[in-house]
Amino acid sequence: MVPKASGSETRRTFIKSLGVAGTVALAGCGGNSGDGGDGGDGGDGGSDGGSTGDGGSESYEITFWELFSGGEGPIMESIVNKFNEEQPLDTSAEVTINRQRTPWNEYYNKLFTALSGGQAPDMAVMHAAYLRAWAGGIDPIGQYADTGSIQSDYTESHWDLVTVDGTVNALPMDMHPIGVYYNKDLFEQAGLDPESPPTNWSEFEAAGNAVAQNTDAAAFTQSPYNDGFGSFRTWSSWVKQQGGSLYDDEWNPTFDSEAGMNIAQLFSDMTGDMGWAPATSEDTWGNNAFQNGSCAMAMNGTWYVAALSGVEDLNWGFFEPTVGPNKQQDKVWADGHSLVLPKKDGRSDAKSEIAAQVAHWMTTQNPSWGAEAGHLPAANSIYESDAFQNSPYYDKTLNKYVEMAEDGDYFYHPKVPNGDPNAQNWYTWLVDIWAHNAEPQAGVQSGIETVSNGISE
Amino acid sequence: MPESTQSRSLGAYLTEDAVRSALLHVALYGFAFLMAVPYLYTISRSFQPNRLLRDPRPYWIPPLVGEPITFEHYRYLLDNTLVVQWTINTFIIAGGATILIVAIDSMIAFSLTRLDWPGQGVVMGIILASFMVPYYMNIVPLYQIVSDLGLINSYWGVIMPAAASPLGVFLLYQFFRDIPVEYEEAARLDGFSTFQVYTRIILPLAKPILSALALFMFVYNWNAFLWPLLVLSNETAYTLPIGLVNLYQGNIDTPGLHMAVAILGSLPLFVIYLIFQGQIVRAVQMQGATG
Amino acid sequence: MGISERISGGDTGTNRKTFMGLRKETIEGVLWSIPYLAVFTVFLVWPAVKGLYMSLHTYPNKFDLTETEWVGLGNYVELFQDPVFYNAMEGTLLFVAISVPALVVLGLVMALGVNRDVTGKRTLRAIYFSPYVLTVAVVALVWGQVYSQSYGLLNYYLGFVMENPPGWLTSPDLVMASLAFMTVWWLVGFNFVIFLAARQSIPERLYEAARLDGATGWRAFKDITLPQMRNSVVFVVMVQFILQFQVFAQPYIMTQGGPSDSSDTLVYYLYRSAFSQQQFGYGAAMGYVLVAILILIAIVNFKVIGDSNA
Repeated sequence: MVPKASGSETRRTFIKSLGVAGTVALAGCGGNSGDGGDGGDGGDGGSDGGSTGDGGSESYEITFWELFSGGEGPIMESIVNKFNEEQPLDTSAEVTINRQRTPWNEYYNKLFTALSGGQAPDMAVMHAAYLRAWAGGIDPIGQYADTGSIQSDYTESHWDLVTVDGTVNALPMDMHPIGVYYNKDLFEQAGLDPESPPTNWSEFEAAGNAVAQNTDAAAFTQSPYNDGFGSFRTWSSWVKQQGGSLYDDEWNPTFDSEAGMNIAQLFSDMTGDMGWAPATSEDTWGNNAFQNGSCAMAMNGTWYVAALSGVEDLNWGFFEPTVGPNKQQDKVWADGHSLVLPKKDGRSDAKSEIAAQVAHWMTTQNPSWGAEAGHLPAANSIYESDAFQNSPYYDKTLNKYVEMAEDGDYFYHPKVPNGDPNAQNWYTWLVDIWAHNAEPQAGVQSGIETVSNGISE
Repeated sequence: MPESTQSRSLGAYLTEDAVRSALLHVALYGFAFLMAVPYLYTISRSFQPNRLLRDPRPYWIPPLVGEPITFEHYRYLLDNTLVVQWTINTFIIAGGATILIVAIDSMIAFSLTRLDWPGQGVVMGIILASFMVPYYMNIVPLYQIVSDLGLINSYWGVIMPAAASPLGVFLLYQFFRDIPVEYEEAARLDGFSTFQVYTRIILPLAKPILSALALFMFVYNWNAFLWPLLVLSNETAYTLPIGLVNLYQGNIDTPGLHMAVAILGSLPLFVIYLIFQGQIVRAVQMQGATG
Repeated sequence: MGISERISGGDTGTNRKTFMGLRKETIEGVLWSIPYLAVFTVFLVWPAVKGLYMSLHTYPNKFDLTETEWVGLGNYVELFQDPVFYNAMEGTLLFVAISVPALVVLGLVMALGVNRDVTGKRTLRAIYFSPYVLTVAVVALVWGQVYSQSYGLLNYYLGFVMENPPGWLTSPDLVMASLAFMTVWWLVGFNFVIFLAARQSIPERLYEAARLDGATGWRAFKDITLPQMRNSVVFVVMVQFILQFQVFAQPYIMTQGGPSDSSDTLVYYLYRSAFSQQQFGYGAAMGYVLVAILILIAIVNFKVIGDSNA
């Protein structure tokens, strides 16, 4: 029995590999050799022990965390690259943005963990809905930027979006409300005029019934991903349109208001008596169906445009979602992305100011964010820009989203004081109702309990 | 195969055995085929254009029904030059963790099974109990410790917590216990030191299980997602699973890309496994022959 | 426990209990354990102890974890009155009841099968183990395409023989079983490798001796294989129990605990509380209840299947 590798040999290889791993780890955390990547001169280790940006070397590296993927990813990347190249800030210092992307699902987990360990980035994307719950973890932007003067750079609704109890917590980057995307060919097949989509409930009802009766296709999907959060966007919009509310003053959910129950019942009926869609909780059912032409209407957000333009043979249109039953007011769900400065010990005031300026630049100098990603940009200047006006989506969706903004139709995804407002499991009860796995009454109650628990300490 | 001691004609004996053997092969290979079907389907789909992927009808080999195949999903991924970097990072992390784990786990398993000292039972009990502590409960305190040690955004911050896993200790403990003491006694009589017993007797005898442990740990650390994601905060330092998910994540509108991400992310590990598998086979054969 | 010890009938072990010998062995024993114990203590024990501490407090300000309020066993009391907890427990138990026996038995059968006189063992081994190298997200993707009700592989073919193929992930009655089945496919490779290694460590001469006595086939299995593999069976059963009890990623990715919470599990609920909603005290309490349950199972496991060194 001659052993192949003696213990000392194993030890030696081990120590050698330790050395390799060690050197790599020391050499800037595994990574400056990525030339195809961005974020230039890494090696900062993500922590800011007061080394850069204290006036000595006059160069600042702003670590920036974001969560964009799919079509939006490359656009954000190019915006950051543009900044790093052009150095547009009015300062002699060299400012570089070190961009880090985290998958959407884990973004807030990672941000929170980093905050708790003192390793937060200098700047981060944050959905406006989180600005109250996370107020304790971010420095209000007003601390480092003259909000009085930059307020006019942004539209009123965007400025409102990021103001929490009078404090401006962040700089708004965009809004992404929802609307109804429809299949023009299916409309025609059902005997409807593809160029005049529904503008109110009775037209919407008629259209859906026409599709259900005259074609093999389903009429409507409440969220192409058949997920809780998407269903909430739709449900809450119609609840608000009926004059209902979502929470009371103490942040108790009021999902069981009359309006809330009505729309919950509507969901159940759509897949039941109305026969508008199959009663299923199947993942992404709606997306597959809409994209392969077996569903006529889909309620989704601004971001859907990028996906749809990649589908051949899909002749699609868009109409405003102010088609809820018994409508008393036009109300449409909206949330948006904003840029925040997470609390960070050791980040000097000078650096924080620079970071605020970076945020200001990023939110006001980038028409491509709206033009190519389909979102509603926050800055006034962008609305007037050529890039925005000439966007391929301008005529199809953007102008209608703009119209709704001007009419003041949007209400914001509630900024709960605690918890995770984008959490899927806060809203899966709506999918349960849609898929007939729960009666509307029971489903709504379950929703109230889940959300109350989530909001409580 | 047991030799039949009943008197049968040679022909009948051969046929019965042959039939049994054939059935065995059919069962084992049939089962293997069924096991492979799900991911063979995914591999096929990673080469299909999105249009086919949205069709309720499944396509196995599109060209056979006149439909196209495409490399566009893979091209999109491989165009991103960081993919190679990520693979290297993952290799270093997984490899480093595996080597460390095999080394320290075998050392303590050796100590717990071949040496006699007070408190052994307690130590083993604590290790075993810790195996039952759910990982997610520890994350925030663990992150704070790793941060305090200055290991954030470093490979060590990923490797060290992984090396604390009790699974390997438990596994080796069970197997080391089975090694007959006679070998050790003989070695001691020959004047072997404890260290020599470890390296010349125990390690070689335990090769099959050490290889198995190395394999499991390498796979686990390669695929680890959440912890490396939390610790590493530099895109160029990301591991392959994280980097690929970042490229695709949440974008259900490009199912083909999702498939390609899945296959590409798994492929390096599968190749490494195939290579490793050869080692295990040889180790086991050696062991079985001398047992 | 090697057969040699059984043959020689007793403890022929390293019984060098001379005064100096024991001391030396103790020192050695501790030294050899230190590397692992150091890593273990810093990166596992310390956070776990901190977790215990957290379970006795609440954290009103999630951004300042130094602000704590002592609640004693308050979190635990609240937990035991929490219907979501019981529902998650139910889901977990169902999952474990289906997956663990299947994982153990199937792994054993596969190992014994491959051990026989078959050609192409290497290929078989590779295929049987292959799903294990996939990460859970990939497994979810692969099986999502199999299980999807309207677009899935399974239902496409079932559609030829039945009217309405079931919703494997959308039916509250089937979802846990579907997840369990997928998990068995994914993880059985682990058990397969362990059992194969154990089987092939059994000295051939035992079987030769048995053959001379006329004991073959089933008897050889019962009298030699099974007893010899006892430790590995204990190990595998224990490990699978502990691992599958902590099932989280499969429902998290595929069903988000649905439909109507029928696939919710303990660790998924823990993740939501402790990690997603930063209710650390509550989540930690849940963690420790889980630890207690698992320790109980481990004890039962040892008593029932037994430990051949006892």
